Amino acid sequence: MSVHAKPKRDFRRTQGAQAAPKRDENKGPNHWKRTFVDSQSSNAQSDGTDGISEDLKEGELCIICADHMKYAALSPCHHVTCNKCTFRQRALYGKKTCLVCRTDVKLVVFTADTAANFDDFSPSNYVEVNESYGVAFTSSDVSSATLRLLEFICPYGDSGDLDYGSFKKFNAHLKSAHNKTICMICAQHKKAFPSELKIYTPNQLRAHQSKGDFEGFQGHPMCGFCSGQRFYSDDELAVHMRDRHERCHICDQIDSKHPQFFKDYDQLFQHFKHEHFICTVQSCLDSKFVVFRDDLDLQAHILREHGSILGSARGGISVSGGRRFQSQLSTFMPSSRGIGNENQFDSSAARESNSTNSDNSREVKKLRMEERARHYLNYSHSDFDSFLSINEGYQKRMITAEDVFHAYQDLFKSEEADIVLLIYDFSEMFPENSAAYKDLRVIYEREQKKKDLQTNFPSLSRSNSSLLAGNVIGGSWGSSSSSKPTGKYNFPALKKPTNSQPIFGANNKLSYKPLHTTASPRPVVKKTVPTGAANYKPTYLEKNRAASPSIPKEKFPPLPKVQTKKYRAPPLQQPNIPDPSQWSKSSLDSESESGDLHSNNSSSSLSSGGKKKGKQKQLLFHIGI
Amino acid sequence: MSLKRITKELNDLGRDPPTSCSAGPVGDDLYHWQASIMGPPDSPYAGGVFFLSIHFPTDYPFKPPKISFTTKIYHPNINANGNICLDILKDQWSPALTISKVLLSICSLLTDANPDDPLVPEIAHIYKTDRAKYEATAKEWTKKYAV
Repeated sequence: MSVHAKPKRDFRRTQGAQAAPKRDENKGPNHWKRTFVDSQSSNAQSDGTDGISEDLKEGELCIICADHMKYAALSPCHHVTCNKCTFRQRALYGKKTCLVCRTDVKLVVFTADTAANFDDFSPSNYVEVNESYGVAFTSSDVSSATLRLLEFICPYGDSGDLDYGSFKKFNAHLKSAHNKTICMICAQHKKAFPSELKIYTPNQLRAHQSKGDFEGFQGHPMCGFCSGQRFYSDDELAVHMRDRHERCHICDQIDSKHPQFFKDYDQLFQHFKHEHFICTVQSCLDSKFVVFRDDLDLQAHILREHGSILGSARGGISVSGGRRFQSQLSTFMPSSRGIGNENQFDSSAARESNSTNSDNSREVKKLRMEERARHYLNYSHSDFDSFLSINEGYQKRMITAEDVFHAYQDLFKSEEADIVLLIYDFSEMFPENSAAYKDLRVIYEREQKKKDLQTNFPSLSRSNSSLLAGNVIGGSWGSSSSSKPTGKYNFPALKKPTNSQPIFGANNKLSYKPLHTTASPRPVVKKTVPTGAANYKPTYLEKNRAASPSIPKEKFPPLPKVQTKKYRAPPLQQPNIPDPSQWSKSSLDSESESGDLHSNNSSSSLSSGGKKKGKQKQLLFHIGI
Repeated sequence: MSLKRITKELNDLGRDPPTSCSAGPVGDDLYHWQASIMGPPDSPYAGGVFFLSIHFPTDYPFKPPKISFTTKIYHPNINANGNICLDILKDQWSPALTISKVLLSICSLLTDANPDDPLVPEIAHIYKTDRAKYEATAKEWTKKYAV
């Protein structure tokens, strides 16, 4: 704060005379401040602003602090806040950025005309310009009221308008003259103007620091290791803990929600010894932090790093054996180890149960159902109320589950509304063996079946077509394969297509990861292409091609092209080469494409160096052709 | 200072709720809110309802609110503790931003993850190399934890 204190003091020197008479201008409407101000003559005005701010219209509120805007701060980016907020940003936070759009602004205009625009003023209108904060004032009132915010003036009035210049001196005066104090932690970090800081008696200060004294503030957190040292907020404490103390990284791996801190490395080392698995080889002890989550990791480390020790004298074995022995001897170690391991599971289990608690407890389910309903109802209050009354009616068993379903259907008109899901959610509100639950479940299952049928139809028809295609493939392939038993890697491909769609998908994933996203049958086809006889496939591939354009959507453009290349591959004339080369590029980009594709590409674009058997085969074909 | 602003945001939320999200105080403490986000329809989170907790610092709005997911979610920028990696919640915070705007930003983060600045590198890697697998897992988690 002393950083800010200096410029402020300079201010006072230049501004002192002007500022003095305006004393009451900047009395904000903060209630706590008023308690001190009340004793003074100036309270009338601040009370006045308070009263006004209660029923102010939107336009007169600062968008940042939502307070009455007495003076406006105008920026060249045409954003308006109250003078306090912008001045806080520039003087206390030391940032020259616009509070709204974060643009760097060299000069802002502070004016009493809250409806004005930045462009309304030219330098000739400026009564005063403060270079260090980059603020131009259009009247001396605004200037004095604003700059006065930075002054340290005793609210009890015994030292008149004397500015104490720093929090330290201000606090010293309060202590000696009034036996009161400000919170120096707040003074340093709160970025509050001196007049905004509360003044405490020693007891109040203790309460303020230890448990907080206003809503949203739980006191300044304390470091458990540094004898009562307190920090402004958890953020500052976290920085201190990171810089000054040790955090167990193994516990972090197990449960990062509850970090374990230790005063220094010695304490952390003790914790390592008792809770985790530390490598006891001297070099590792010296280099610190060589510790593992479980025995297995430690053994792996010993084998990897200290294999020579192990091999040379069996000392290593005794090291690990010793550890084990130790751990069995002392009751504490194994139990702690057990706890450690349990923790591991516990924490994951706990997380699981936490999440199930948080995600699946009845209350959360209810919240979720209501949230879903609200969303479906477009956040209409009246519709939501009728939703609640339907539910209530059912809960009292005044209506049947069937009625609920129909009422929902009437109520939720939006297309995305999933009534079946709501019925499901609603059924979850009742105990599982209750009639209310069962009735709703009957409807849920019935509707779910309907829905499944509906959603399955398209997929069924699709799968039919693909099955057909598969059969065709299978048929053609069966014949070809019987004639050509040599194709080994074709066989797996053959079996899968004939089975069903999902397997197609699986097949894709295995071989065509980047490409596969939507349509499945094609990749299989491709596989068959390069290996089988060139004459055979084109016919059947064309069918597929005809079928394919309709299905592929996002990433599929690449695929059809590949196929076309394949077909063109046999002809392989010069005109074709340009296309394939494009292709090979793109296929190189997505390097993980299947070998078949790759070979196709490279074979079709003769330019790329042949590496695979497939290519060579095809080349042979070409030569033959 | 912060209380007035928070109260105003609460009133604004009640008067003009944003689509697909909502927020409000948990109990009497105006500095601790719970929010919910509907999984965006064009994302693998569609159909899920995700809950978040919001803590306002006493210096709000000069300091950003602390927002984290309480519902488990599979996303490159959201870790197992529910922490969200979003620039406007950190260095790009602006005091003019509101909870409603931040929630909308989180919605759009769900639709368009930012795998180049991941909080969970493993998920980001899958997102970049095997988008289908990412979407399948995200859908599965949504079904398991958020439906």
